[in-house]
Amino acid sequence: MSQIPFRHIMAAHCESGTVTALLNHHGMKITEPMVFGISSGIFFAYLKIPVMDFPMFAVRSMPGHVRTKFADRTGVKFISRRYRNPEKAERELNDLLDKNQPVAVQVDFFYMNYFPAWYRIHVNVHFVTVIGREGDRYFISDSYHPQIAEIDREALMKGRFAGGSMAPKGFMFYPVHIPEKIDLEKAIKDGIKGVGVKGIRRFADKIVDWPKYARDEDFLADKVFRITIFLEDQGTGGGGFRFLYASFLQEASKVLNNPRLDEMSKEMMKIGDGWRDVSLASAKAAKQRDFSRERLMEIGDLLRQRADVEESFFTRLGKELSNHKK
Amino acid sequence: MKEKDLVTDCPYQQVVLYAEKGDGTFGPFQTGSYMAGVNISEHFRITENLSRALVEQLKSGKISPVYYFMMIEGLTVPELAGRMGISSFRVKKHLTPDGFRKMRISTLKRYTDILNIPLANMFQIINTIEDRNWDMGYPKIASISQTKTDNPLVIETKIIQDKK
Repeated sequence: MSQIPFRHIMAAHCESGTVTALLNHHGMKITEPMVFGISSGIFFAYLKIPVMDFPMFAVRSMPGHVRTKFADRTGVKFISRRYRNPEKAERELNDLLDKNQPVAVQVDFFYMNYFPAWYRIHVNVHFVTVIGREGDRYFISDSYHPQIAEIDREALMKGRFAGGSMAPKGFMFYPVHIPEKIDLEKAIKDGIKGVGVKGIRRFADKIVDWPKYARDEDFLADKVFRITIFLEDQGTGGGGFRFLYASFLQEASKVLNNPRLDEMSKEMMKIGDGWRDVSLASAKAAKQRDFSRERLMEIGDLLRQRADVEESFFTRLGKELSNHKK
Repeated sequence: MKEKDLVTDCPYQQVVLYAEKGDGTFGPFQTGSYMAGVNISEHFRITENLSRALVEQLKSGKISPVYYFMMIEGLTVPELAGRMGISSFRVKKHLTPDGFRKMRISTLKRYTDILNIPLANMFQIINTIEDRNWDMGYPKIASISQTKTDNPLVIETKIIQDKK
């Protein structure tokens, strides 16, 4: 067999992009911001546990949540599978492709060798859609790649069966049922939740401690650069997902016929601008190798401002939806 | 954020960002990666510094090749142990030259599968880090020169990729 006709488009986030592309393929007209918003994709967590050599933060919900929450709230049904046996996983993927069914798979990003070597890192929570095969070559629609990519069988299998934390274990999914009528209003209201402002405040308080965990200046510079990468470049749509979320609120205002949400979407866009200030301040500190307490406290202050404005924003957003229900 | 304020010229690394368009609506647009476009030289400098420091430690017999590749690929001991399906204690042993010497070839092969490198690269230093088109583990036409180091288990291999 060869490639299944599939509309490949780049997306901001690999999981919401993959779910959106698969639903579009099966005839459901929905955008990435709607998938992201309905599935409560906006999130923040700051982590430092003893087993970690350096603190980390996350601006995305748990891998898999976008699909499961979206399914819960819309009635769309996905078949999902996880495997112990790689041969079985490969066979079932091939069978589905032979039936012209594009399939989303979870992989370790490091083995996706259609990206340049310097760009690839070990992260087990990348999602791509497999849209065909020819011999030992597979065709991949990857939200982060401008064109349809090709990958050899060995690399795809390595990606699907990488071990370690959040190991993919051959995980794959595809939609099997899209309801004719979806109550989008309810799905949107159910999807709008708060964000982890406690995590943002913790990050703001703890960033001054980062130098004590670093083995050298280069290591610390790399970690501080990663603040910018995680907020802007690594599949967020910019501003740590806030620009994507603003787009969701703007679309939601039309569905709910609520002009107040349109105003709040503009406010969310400005909140995203503030996150971009965090990114720029981090990139600047890393480039200048300035990790003084004062400089890190400046980044901490910017983060604290984000926590304050988001706490107020999501409280008002919740009230707005409660009033709308009445 | 307006679309025009987010445009970055970086054709080799594209991303999708959401921004306000000219008509006031919000939506996606494809542009260059800010980090890749503006700070890529810094990223390469950090990687090259790390590689150089690790190669020196490798040559003087202070670390094992497993340690070198673990660091270059940004893995931690618990993460590598999880991927190998062995304890962190055992991985730590394999990170030392002594533990590396005592390792079974089959165990080493599992490391090289995870690290996505040829087994032979565990026994040689390949100076290709300056060539950003070079991809570890993928054959390309190249000329090779090899030099001994102070560490009897390690030889230095210089590979120059053929640009033709």
